[in-house]
Amino acid sequence: MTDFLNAVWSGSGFGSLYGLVALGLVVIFKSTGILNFSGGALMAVGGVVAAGLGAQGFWVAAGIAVVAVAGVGAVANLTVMRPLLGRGLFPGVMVTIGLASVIEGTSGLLFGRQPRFLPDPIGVPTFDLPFGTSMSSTLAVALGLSAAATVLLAIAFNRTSVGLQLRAAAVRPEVASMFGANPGRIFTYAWAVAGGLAALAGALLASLTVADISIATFALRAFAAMIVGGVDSLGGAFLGGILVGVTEMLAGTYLGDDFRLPSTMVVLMVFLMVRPQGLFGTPEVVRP
Amino acid sequence: MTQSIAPPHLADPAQPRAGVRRTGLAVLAVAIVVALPLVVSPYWTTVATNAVLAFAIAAPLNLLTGNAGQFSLGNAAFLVVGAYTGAFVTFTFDMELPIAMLVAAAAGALVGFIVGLPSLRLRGAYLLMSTLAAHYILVFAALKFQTSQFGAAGAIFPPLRVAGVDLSGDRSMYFVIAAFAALIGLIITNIMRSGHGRAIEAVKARDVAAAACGISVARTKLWVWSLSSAMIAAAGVLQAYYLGSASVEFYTLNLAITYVAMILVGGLGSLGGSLLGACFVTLVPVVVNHLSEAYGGGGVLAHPHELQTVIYGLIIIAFVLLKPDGLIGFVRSAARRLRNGG
Amino acid sequence: MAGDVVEQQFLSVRDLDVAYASGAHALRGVSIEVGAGERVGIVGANGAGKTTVARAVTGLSAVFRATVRQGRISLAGKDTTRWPAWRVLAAGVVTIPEGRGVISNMTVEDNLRLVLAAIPRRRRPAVTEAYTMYPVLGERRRAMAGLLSGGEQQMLAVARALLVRPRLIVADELSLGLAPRIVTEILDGLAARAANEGTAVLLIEQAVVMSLRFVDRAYVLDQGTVVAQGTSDELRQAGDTTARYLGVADLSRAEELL
Repeated sequence: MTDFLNAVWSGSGFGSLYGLVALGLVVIFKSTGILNFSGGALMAVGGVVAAGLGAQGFWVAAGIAVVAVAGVGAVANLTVMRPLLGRGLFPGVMVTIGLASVIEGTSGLLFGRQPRFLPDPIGVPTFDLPFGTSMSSTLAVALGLSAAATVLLAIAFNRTSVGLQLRAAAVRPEVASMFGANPGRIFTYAWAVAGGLAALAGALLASLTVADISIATFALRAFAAMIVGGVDSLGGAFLGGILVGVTEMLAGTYLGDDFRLPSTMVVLMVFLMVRPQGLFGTPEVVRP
Repeated sequence: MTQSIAPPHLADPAQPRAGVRRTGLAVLAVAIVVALPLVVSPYWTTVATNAVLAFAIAAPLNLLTGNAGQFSLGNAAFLVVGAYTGAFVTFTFDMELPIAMLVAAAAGALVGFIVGLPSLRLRGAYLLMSTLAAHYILVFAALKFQTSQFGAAGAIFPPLRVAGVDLSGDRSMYFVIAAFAALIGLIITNIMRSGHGRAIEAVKARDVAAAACGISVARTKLWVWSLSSAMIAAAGVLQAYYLGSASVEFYTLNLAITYVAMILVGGLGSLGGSLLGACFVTLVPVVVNHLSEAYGGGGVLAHPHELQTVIYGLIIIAFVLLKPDGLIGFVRSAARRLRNGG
Repeated sequence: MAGDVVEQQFLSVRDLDVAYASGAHALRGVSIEVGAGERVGIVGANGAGKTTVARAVTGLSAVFRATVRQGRISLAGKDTTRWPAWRVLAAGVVTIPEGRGVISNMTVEDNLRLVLAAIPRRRRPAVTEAYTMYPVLGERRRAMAGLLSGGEQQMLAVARALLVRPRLIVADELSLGLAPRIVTEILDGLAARAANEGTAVLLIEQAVVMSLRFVDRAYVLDQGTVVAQGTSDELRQAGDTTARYLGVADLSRAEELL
């Protein structure tokens, strides 16, 4: 029971990081149809930037990293993503893969590859929970921040002009254009949001473990989170992340650590075959 | 959409002459390949071996992704399936390389068939994700197989001997791999010229249209998945012999992406493109390293690995945005200019 | 007919050639003019290129993979040929698109707020203006737009267009699939508002008779070219040459078609 609950707690914490990256993937995929393979690189560089500013404490460092990587996302859209609109899956995936490579190499040139650390967001190391279990305070903060980010994003999508235009562009791009949405502008917001969310995940991960530009593959679970939640659902991305994270930690606890990543990929495969629209997605959003 | 269903030779009245020209180019290519190691230094022979091997892997992938339109990130997993099947057959039954490669191809075909099954239900991003999941699941299975069969370090391959002849030297290894690559090229050429080629292109053009043409889309899809995976798995055995060992750490997602980058850079759906792309992407790190050494490694050149990573990314981006038909596009327009000029 | 008064035209389309990426050549040398506050029609059979004109004028060619090969579109004297849709909208041209362009899985109110999002906040009208015009929209403001009847959806499309206080409304196949009574009701509402605010209307219609009743003058489009033009009366009186392009036997006696 203790093992099980501990796995669930830490799984939800780590899963909420996948959820953060997945939120960014969903925002981009939903509005532009581009499947973003650079989420992991954006996350990793966010962690590296935050850890480089570790002396400022977690919150300042994470804040600066979020803003900086949001900028990277915006610039990426303005330069290389915008010409890709409407060109289909393969070009989008390849350019985001290329972008991930550029980000990784640039980060290596600018900041080196030595692992860096970031202080914890709050002073308490762990929270005690029922049945003699406990949860790392950083994971609890991660869970709280991801939930907050999901709610804020959902509000932004419903209340703001750009949010409304992004929602319209997701389902009827031509209608969104007819009524004043400027794709270049609104998709820049989408990319900035994706960058910022990924950087937040990266900063949290840096304080949990270590900041290292080569940990980009960590974020591959975000694809599983995105599919499990449903590619057009923000809340789904968050809950999907937690489901994937808990699965991973349970597999790690009961089967062995080397089962962690494969177990998330099994979840991904099962959902693709059984329920490709995910838990909360609408079935007809398939973009071939 | 539907015009690409028409077989290319019907659309091109200049086909006979083009055929002669193509044969001429093929002869020239073979001549270059054979002469190369006799002319250049051992270092460049190694580079050439890498490029030719890369072609043998990229070409079947191009058949699947470029011609049949099935975007897959599963090719590194097929390589490991091939390498470990080959190792198992070689070590357990003491078989020669050709037998090991045939068995590996059979295993590759089977695994390719299974990985291809989702393509009957899923398309686009969803299908791509299923190949991503398949990559990790297969590599994990390979890890378990590795641990139980070969130990933690992976499979160590002996120097290559076929029928008692030692082929492990740089040059002989090069010729073995080049011969295999030529075989792959021949197989793919013949497939694309046959009715199968038309069926493959039809799968890409549009599933519905292919069905309307009386071609069983499902059967063609699974057939291409199996065939391309079989070829990649067979290449995996050769690659493992060439590298001297096979260990799961080598078969990363990034390795899979490298071959996709090759067919993108060379030209999707073109055999010549696979060759050009394989050479180009193989040469990038070589050139960067040379520059780094030649210019004393100052500035960004002090970190050739990081520089390679950046340049590799920029190349991928540049080709998608600026030259989506790849290097073969340059060759085609040059050929067109020559034809029109003379 | 209006060639020498270019300066007074709000919309001026000159020798427009448009082709689609599929290879289809949709428009050849089309010239159309709409004066400020004027009501102009474009009529023609299916596939004549009417919708292509609407897309070109509203900056949507690229969105539908069409390219302006030649010619010039200008609004109030400014060259807008290559402007994207959002700039054309900001210049005061709004569309009531073919098929209504209502986003069915967004609420009625969000559909209206979508167009408001494009207007700078200080000039942004209240969404309730639309409900004053069509109270039924106010009653169903929280309903998904896809659940509205065809007529209500068209009201939503009209109200959405009027919210931006446009100088020109391009209405494409507004009558399609609607009962004549509802079309008349919607057009009367549109006409009243347009007259009130000096809004010009470019009405693109297959339903010739209804269209000619609403507009001051019209262009007849066939296979991507303007084959006739004139006032509504002139076109109604025209012989069977014009009528043939419209797929109607005799315009003066074709009222029953509506």
